[in-house]
Amino acid sequence: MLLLTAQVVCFIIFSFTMSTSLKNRRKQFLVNKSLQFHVMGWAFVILLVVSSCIVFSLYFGVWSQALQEFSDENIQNALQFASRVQDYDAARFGQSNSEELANPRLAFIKDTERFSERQREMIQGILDRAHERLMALGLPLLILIALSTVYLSHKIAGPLYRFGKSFEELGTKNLTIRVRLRKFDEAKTLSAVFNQAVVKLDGAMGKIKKILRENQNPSLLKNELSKEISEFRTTEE
Amino acid sequence: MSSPKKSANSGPRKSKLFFCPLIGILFISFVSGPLAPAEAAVPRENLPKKEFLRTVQKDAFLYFVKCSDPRTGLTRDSSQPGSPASIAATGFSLAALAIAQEQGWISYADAYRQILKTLETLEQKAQHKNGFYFHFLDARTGKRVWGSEASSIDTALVLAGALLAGEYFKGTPIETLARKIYRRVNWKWMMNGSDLICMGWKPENGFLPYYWDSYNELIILQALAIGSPTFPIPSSAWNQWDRFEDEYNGRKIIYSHSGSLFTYQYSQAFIDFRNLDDKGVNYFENSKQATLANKEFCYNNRLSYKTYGESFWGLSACLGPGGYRAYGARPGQAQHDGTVAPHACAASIVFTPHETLQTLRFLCKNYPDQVYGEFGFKDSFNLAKNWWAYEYLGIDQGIMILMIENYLTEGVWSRFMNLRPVEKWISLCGLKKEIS
Repeated sequence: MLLLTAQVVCFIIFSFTMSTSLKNRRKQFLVNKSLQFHVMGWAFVILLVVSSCIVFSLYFGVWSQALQEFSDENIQNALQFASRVQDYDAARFGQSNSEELANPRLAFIKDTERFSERQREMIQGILDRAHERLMALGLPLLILIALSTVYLSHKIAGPLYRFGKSFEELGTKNLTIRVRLRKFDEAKTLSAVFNQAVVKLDGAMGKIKKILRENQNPSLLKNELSKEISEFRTTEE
Repeated sequence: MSSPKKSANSGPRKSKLFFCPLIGILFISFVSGPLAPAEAAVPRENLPKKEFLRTVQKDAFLYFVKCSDPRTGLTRDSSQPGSPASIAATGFSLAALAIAQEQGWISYADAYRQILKTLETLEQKAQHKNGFYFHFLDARTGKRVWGSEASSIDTALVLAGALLAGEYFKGTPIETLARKIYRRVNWKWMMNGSDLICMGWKPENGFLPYYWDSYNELIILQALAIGSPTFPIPSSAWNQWDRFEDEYNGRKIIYSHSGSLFTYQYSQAFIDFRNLDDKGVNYFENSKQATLANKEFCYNNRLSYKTYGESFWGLSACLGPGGYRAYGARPGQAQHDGTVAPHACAASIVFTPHETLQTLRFLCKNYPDQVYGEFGFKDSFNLAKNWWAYEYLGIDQGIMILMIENYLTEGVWSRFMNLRPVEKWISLCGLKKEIS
């Protein structure tokens, strides 16, 4: 969720910065609704999955541990062991138990001190384990995010690359070129429009070639060609 | 350009591949499981001696299977849920695993794996100061818990267990690793500029104001500290601690302050004192006399305490109706309330085999359900108060296993006495080897 929020915030800041520049002011953010919604949808789903993993790991991994540590049973065990540690010290270091036996409250206070010390250790332990867990989870998450980025960028950069190559081919006067995209790649509509345009150009050029091949009479040839070429608009005109 | 069919499949396959490792990682990070519990039947009191003792020993060993963390090998202080790992219990666990594989209770490969894992934890994860481990550790992480001290005696016990395991697995990485963690200990630092070894050190307060200054379980600590190849303490430290002598029932004993049986047992679980003379004192014979005195002390108090009235004995540090106490007999402080520890009686097998076997068999015959459980003899009981310990302590289980092994095969003694540091300690302290 944190990642997703950060992404959204970055997007807003970026958009705002761009829109404030008068020269490059955007009048419309959704220039290609279908494409943009598609990319946004993918980004949302992937980031949602990644963020959910973090949240679930944190919630169930860390806080369920905390709840377990402080369960009634564990508290009872810890209290008992607090008393045991007092006894161990008394046995080993020769501290007399008689004072505590005579005054149970004193023994209770000492047990409580031990217990509270243990509680601080437990909380520290939970934090330490949470950090370890985050560290352990951090690396696979980074890899996942990196792979997601590669996948997302490929969905967009792949078609752009193919369009570039196709335009290059077009520059070499190859009108047989067609753009074919992967099923889940972006810019499907654009590729259809592009292919349609190339089909038209290919058809027109084919027709011109046919006229040249079939007409031997120069005046007839000129008429036919003029008629066909007149449909093209060029900068020369 | 590209084939539309191929591109149609690559998208979803890729996205599936992205999430599979993540799901796997999440699954592995939450999965863990302890070893399955094992049940133990009370040994029949009329079993032949060896079989009876092996049954007791094997059942006690199960504690170390069940109560050691499968990830780190660190052994819990007690069978009570939530108990932290105790570094001394971990030392006994290392020794117990080595014995168990020799007896065929577990395979060589399993014991090897478990011991190596434990030693790796001790080397890399277990929190220590200058090689001295903290008394209580988190069994999973190896970090200090309960504000415990970096303890000199508990470190000595874990090292003794590690070095012993190294002898059982000679020429393997276990031996190398055991020596490595032993060589790391700066014994001289623990003297804190004095002539004696301090009991411990805490990060908050520094050295504890207590020193190992009189006879008790300190001998194993002194032996390893004097025999250290890296940071030895001066051999003069051997003569710095007091050897108070007193008499009980006509028995002259160099006694420990508490008079607890364990103080006469721990060092001798590893060191074979039978043929060692320390300026006229044989500590094996001393422990034997102390054990007999302990039994006689109980007998002499039989009219006041029902437990002793039924011929039970074994006053040692153990759980009692009012908590853990350093129970003991004369000579010494002799704190007692009628609570006896079967483990203390069992661990006396090398000193008083006849008396020990008689008492243990009698216990099994008369109180099988109350006194014997999943891991063999429960820690302690008090008949007058009808109080029976329901839990087990790691160090009490461990001492039984080692002492029974010494009684039956001398397997621990023979290996431990071959260690170079032990030979060095004997030589530097002028202990004379008697000809038996």
